[in-house]
Amino acid sequence: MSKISRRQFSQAVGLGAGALAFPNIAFGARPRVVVVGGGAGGATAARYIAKDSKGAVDVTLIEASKRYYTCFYSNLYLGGYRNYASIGHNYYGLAVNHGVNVVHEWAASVDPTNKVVKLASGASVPYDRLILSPGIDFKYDSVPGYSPEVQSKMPHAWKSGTQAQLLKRQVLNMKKGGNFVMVPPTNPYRCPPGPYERVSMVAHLLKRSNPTAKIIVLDPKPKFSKQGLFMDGWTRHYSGMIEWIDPQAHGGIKNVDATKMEITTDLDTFKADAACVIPAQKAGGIAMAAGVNDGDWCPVNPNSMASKADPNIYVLGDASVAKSMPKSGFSANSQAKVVANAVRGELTGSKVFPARYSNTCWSLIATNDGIKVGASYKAGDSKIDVVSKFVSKNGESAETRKATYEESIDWYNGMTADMFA
Amino acid sequence: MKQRFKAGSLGLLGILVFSAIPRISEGRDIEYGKYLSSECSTCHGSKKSTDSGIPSINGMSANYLVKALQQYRSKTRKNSVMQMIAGRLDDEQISSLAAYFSSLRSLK
Repeated sequence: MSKISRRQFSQAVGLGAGALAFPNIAFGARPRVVVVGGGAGGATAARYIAKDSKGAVDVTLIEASKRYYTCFYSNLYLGGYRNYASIGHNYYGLAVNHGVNVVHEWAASVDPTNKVVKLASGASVPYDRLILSPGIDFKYDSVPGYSPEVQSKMPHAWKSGTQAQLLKRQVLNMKKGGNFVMVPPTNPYRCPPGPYERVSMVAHLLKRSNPTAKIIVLDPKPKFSKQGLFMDGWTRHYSGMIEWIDPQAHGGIKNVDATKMEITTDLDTFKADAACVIPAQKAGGIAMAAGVNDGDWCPVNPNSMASKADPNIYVLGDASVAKSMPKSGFSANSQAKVVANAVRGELTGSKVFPARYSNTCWSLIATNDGIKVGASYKAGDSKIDVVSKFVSKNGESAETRKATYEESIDWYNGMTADMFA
Repeated sequence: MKQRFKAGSLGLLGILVFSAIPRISEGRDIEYGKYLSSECSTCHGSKKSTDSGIPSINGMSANYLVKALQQYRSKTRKNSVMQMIAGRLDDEQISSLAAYFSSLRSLK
């Protein structure tokens, strides 16, 4: 001992203490975290674990797409406020700035016993902790007549990308005075205000290009997020253009016929010149393959987002049951930071702090007319509980609404930097 | 094997030494401030910030940040998102956050 300097002694003591608690570190192997899904949840989790562990954790992100088009702000692309390129992002920052191993392949299955993710290519990726952030898959048969085959005729455009481009083209190609028919999804679904912001943005587009066109919303739900705010905005900006029909009035969607472009309800058969049909949703397939789902979604512990089915697997974002939080990009980003803190704590012994979550959803009704709803949350005994909440009000000044929209632009910039920079 | 034995011995010694040293609260506060700050980064972390919407706060003075957060908490400063965020921060958390952000280099 006398030949060891004080500095060497401190280092050795630190290593020794760590070696007993974290055997991976003792033998030189870095603990391995695999993240599946490079969206708001997965990209943020990968970035924070890599950034804050400073190389002590081996982080692999499995994401099939080389370029990620955000779902949030895809409605503003539809409305003409953003160009398509501006909502696309790549994984360069995660790989180069933070040393995340970005694997552009499809994760096909999970072997939780041997702690391995199997890729569609046949390769295997071992993990110590697995973070699943796969977003949503569709329950196509929730809307009779809808299927992957017809989604190009009646796009859902609920995962951004090509579908959003297709929907915009179809709206712009509508005949003069034609009908745009929207079928929003049943609860629970990704981005609660999203379908109604979409109605607003389509109205904004048509008001200029096709002002006698009509928008018909055949909603399977009797009420929706920020309903009073949206309806007030529709009256002020798009008077006579939008008709929202609740399920008591239309009696349910009986069939969609993509060849005839008709949507049938008990009330009537609606002829569409362009249509957006968004089916019901469920957790992305890899969560089902990992066996961490209970029905359509994945239950998690509210204090860490760890799966209730497997303590080595975390599920965050849309795929999780994170009640009272909505399924939103902001929620997923917030949950990712709780997961990153918990996973680093488990693998490196870093301090784990109590979970705190937050969310805000901004929506644009018309130019400089932005609204928002948000809440802060904490881990409760059985679910994530609301601490406080707020929502925009009808009758706010034009200045306030403009400020809310401008706030959303900077949120988009901050959010995407928080995911990808 | 020889090296592994040495590391293991030192590890046991390390636990004994550590248990005798009180926790260093300063180190914990920096980590805590960093964790709390991740809630702010969602909106405030961009170089492209326009300042007409959400300002970049890296490198701002700690005094200014403390004052602003206290005003949002007491709702004397307007912005519903910030009133919600600051509403659950105690004085120590506000100080930790202000210390953390003022220590960062400005993004611009």
